[in-house]
Amino acid sequence: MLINRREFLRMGAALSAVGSLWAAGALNVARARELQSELAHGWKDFSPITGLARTPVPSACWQCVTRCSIIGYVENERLVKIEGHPDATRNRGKICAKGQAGVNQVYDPDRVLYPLRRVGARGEGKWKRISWDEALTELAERLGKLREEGQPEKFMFHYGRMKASSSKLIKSVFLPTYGTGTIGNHTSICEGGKWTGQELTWGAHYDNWDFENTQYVLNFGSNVLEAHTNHIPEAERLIRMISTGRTRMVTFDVRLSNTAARSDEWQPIRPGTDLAVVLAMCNVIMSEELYRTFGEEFLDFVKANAGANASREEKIRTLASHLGQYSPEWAEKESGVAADDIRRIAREVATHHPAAIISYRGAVAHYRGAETERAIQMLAALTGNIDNPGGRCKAVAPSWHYSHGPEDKPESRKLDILDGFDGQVAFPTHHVSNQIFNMIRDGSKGRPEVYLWYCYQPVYSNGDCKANEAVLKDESLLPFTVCSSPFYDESAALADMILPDATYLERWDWEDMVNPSQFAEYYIRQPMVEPLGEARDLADVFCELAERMGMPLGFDSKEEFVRMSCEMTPGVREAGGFDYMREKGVWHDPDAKPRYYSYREKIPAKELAADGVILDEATGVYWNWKKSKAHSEAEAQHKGYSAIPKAYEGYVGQRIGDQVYRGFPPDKLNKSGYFELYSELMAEAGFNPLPTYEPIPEHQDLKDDQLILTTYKVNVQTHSRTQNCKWLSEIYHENPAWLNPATAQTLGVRNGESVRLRSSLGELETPVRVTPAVAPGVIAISNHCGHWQYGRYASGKLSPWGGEDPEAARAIPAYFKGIWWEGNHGVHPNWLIPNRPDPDQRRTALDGYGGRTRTRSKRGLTRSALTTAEEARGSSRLYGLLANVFWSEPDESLLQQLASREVRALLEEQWCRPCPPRSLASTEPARARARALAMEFTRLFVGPGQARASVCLRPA
Amino acid sequence: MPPYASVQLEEGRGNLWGEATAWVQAYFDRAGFRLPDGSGGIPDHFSLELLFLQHLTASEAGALERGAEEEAAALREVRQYFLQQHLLRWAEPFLERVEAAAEADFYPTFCALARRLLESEAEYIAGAASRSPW
Repeated sequence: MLINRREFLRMGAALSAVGSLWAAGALNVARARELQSELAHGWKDFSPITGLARTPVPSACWQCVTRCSIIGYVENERLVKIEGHPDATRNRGKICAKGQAGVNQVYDPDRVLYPLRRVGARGEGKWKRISWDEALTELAERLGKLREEGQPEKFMFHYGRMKASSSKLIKSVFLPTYGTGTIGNHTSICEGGKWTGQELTWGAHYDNWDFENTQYVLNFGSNVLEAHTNHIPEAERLIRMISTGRTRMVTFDVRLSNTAARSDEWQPIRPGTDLAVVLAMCNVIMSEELYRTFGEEFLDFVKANAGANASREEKIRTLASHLGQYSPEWAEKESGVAADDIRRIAREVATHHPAAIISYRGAVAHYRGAETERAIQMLAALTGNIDNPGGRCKAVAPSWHYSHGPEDKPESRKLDILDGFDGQVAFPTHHVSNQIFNMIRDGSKGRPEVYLWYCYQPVYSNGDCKANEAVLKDESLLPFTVCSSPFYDESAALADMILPDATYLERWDWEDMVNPSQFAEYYIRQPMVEPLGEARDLADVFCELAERMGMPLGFDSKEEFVRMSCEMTPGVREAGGFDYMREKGVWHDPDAKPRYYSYREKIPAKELAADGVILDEATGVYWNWKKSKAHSEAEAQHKGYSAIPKAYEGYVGQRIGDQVYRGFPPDKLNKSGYFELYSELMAEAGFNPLPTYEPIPEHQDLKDDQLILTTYKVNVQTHSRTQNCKWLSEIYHENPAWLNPATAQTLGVRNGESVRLRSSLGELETPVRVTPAVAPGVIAISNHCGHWQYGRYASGKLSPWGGEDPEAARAIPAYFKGIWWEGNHGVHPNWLIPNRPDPDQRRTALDGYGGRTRTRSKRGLTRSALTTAEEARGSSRLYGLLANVFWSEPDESLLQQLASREVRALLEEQWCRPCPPRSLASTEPARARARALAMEFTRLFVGPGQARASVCLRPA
Repeated sequence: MPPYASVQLEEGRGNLWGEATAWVQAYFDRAGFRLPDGSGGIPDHFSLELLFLQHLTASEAGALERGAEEEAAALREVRQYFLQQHLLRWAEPFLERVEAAAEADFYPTFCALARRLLESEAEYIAGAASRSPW
């Protein structure tokens, strides 16, 4: 017999309030913290089996370009664990999943452990192990010959990722000493447009986002919480600000990334139309005079007109009139973002000061991406958010000193294949790497005879994989190819020679990534274990190669190069140099202050009076003509700063009114020291000098069955260098294409079905995931999967020697067994994406995410439905009691409370058979019952996400 | 048996921080309900949802005691909406899964209590709906 609802709740009201959940929660956390306290401080770890301490080695990550400081733990000469460096001011003890999975890089069973020489046809997969002596003899002979013949430029070096000391040793010392300038990179498929946009406005590249001091984050297409060039250091600061409610964040993205999901507001936007929204926001700010509060003063440093001496009011008039054409209503038609939202967000960002206005590939990695970045710079300038606390800042990185090697380097020669075809790209300030293979095929600018690539995947990473393979395979285009890599990937498989590179956990470096806190942190990378097999850091290989070619560099290894830097660099040297850095891994000046407003620095008269410094009246720039390519002062005066090649290298300061300021010094173009919204350089190149909208031609008038392909990254993989990590590919190995339900319905596609996608390049078959988390008309495929080499975890395919070498087999820990996802390795969108510099597409509009739709609840209950206070109290107590029961394992006091007369009365009266339950009534001591129930609780409820798993870290 | 709505709504095999979690988070935000410290931060945990309801009902009781009828009605409306749109959709299958997997009688006992409470809430909502002017 059930009593009625009212009686039931009245019984509930008789319960005494059960101990508050707050207290229970706090208690658990306190316990967990206590257990962890010893370990959480870092620098200490133990084997759970033997209980013996592991050796900590401070170093730096390389799983992505962020290069966080880490500590690796070594046990019996095996690297067993990696965690964040607790004393690092950049990542503050945190690292991501990729960083932790670095262990897998070292012990990848498909690793290349010995130098290999191709036997059989190129790409056939037949290899012969050779000695380092054989490899170096052949290389020295081939490279030496080119050098002696006076054509060192026919040695092309192409890197994907190379930074800090590796870059300096190879790119600034070895290659110039050898004499080649044919050095390729990968930035044009990364964020080159963003950098060019910045170089045109504030002169240099890299913006730091000062989240810790910001009130408002306006995000155009950055997935900063999952993948970013300074990922963990920025994500850690941002998420703390969001979670404490101190910062509001609005994200524009075509896809509900985890960053968008964690924002206060997600604005889906049509792919490639951020520029329209940004311009409309700038329009609102000008027409409503919102710039007056925080932005007006900064206008003194802004160039918004032709000439160098416009007044503040003239600048305002020019900008207001130029932006007048971009109304929010117009932008709504372009972007799908409601005009009212554009207005509201513009007002918010102009009045919540400081605001960090941020951008990444969603906004910049497509047609006119550089222009979008210029417009975003304008928005930040008009709201007074340039290089200020809490805003968009000029990044601060350490300045390591280093050995420049031999003084008498030859004049470098280079093949003109790095910057695209003539007229293709106006400002190739970061080169046009995705055209290099096209230019090699074309041949009109010459071809390399030796093509060596390092930490790069030309076949996989660029668009049009098929064409990339064809070029790399063709011996008539590239007669001799060398790959330096620890792994057998799609590109290595096509090489003539593979040099087994050391992984980042086996090599030396000094490191220099920027610190979000706006002061410099110096840190190093050092080997945690000896390189496996015969692996060698390519920089060390080059040191030996230089010796063999009779051009010694002045140091014989990267270790020595790094040691020299530690003894040469002010600050690091005084702190204790190399020994200090080896022991601690990181150093920063304890007196360092965050750097802001660097443009306001006044140039001392002494600097202006220095030899060679002249004033260019047209731009107001003081510059030293002797540092440029000008032959005489007369020529410099006559032609002027703008026309002399490399004049920017002599830049000293910018005259503004009657003062000379450091301003925004250029580092790649002859730009003035103003923050240039009006760009004479753009005008000369045939563009509008002020940021101007232009729609993406290919996105106009799409038919119903035409979709815009967008690519993205997830938080546990990098683009191409982590899929061999078992722990990561176990988490993420498949990438069904995301499709909006509305689009899926139009196309007649159901969730889980396979579809065939066709582009101008070919076809791709992929399963589809129908989800409202992506905009209609868009198909989103992540940029990680679909490997056809790169070892068992990435592709299910062994390297030619995988697992056969007894030494390699010994190096494989037991956990490298069983690939339950074998055969499911996803698809790779680059087979469909053309290699054009009007690049790939992103973004779009969306009408609402299921979980966030708002429905108005019904109102106006009639009187008769009202409950009494007593019943409400009863409900409340019952809810509270149950919340406690399902929250954590019962402790003794909870059991006692549950055994109280009132609870038992409730249970007995009702549904409980047998009653009272044994767990409550047993005569067993409460402690024993609690222990048994704790096991039951763990078994039933402790799924992923419960913090107390950390308890098992405790030493035995 | 992860006690999260987003997992349970998909036959116990959904993901953490799913669509439902986002909904709950947004709803808690709108209702001004902040998760207690140390709660792990995933808002659609069964206990946290119950805790939310505990607060709503406690506030309602307080309002009624003060005679603040309108405030009580507003709180009731929120509770009704949350239960109907969300908790009642996943609680029952979840409780059944717990009962099936449990070894001791402790959790089935409290599953039964939870079921009774939620049934009484459903009863009340149905009653309210039938009496509603719409």
